[in-house]
Amino acid sequence: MTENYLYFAESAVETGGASSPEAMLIPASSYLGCDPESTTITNFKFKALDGTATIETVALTHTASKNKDVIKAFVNIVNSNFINANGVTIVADSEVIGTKKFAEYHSAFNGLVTGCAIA
Amino acid sequence: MTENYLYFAEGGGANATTEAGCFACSKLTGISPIIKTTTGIYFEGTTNAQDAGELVTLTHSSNISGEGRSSGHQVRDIANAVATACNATPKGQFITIADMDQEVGTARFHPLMPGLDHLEVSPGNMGTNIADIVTGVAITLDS
Repeated sequence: MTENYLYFAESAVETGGASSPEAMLIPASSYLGCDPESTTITNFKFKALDGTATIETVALTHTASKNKDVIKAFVNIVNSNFINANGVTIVADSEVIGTKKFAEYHSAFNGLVTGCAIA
Repeated sequence: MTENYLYFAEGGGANATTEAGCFACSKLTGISPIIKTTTGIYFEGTTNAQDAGELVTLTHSSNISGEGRSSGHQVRDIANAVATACNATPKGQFITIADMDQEVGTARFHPLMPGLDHLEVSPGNMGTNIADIVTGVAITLDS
């Protein structure tokens, strides 16, 4: 069975480690749950990269009051409904490098997601 | 059930503790940047039940802003290589991701590891090796 690996990145990817990564690949099986933080931010929580008791939180910024739509799309992604052959799913990659690289968000979000932060 | 296993070696001969490691893909817990020039690959602990995780740190070049880059930091390309290896079929493979005990050249690395295809180099430089990108491996148990 193909393992579904999810990729997230902030606008600047330089540092982090396991405690506060600015980007991460994480198995979909590490997903724990989600929590709306505001009308424009929904937090998605995962087991820690390094196996500690802490968690990784991915905050997706989205169109106002579209929390449920974003959550529904995310669950579809987690359930491998869009999985690629190599199992890598770019969920939200906000990294921008001048004119060389632009932000990339999964099509399942239908344009609702506009930002990604990891804590 | 058989699965794929990933091999890493630091370059010290793989004959002393932490000089090499082989980890099951099912134990991969994630990959993240540590600093601009290092990326961490995390696995569940292997030395005891409920112990701290294991960390493989790859040292590599800093951001490269070439055309067609999928990532500024090497983390996305390294993550893609490792995930692809884990999902490679048939299952049950022993896969070298980075083995610094090997001579300089492609035998050191998984074919999808960040390499020359991401560099803006002249054709005359294409004979060099992907060690230009990943230059070191460090294994930390109970990280």
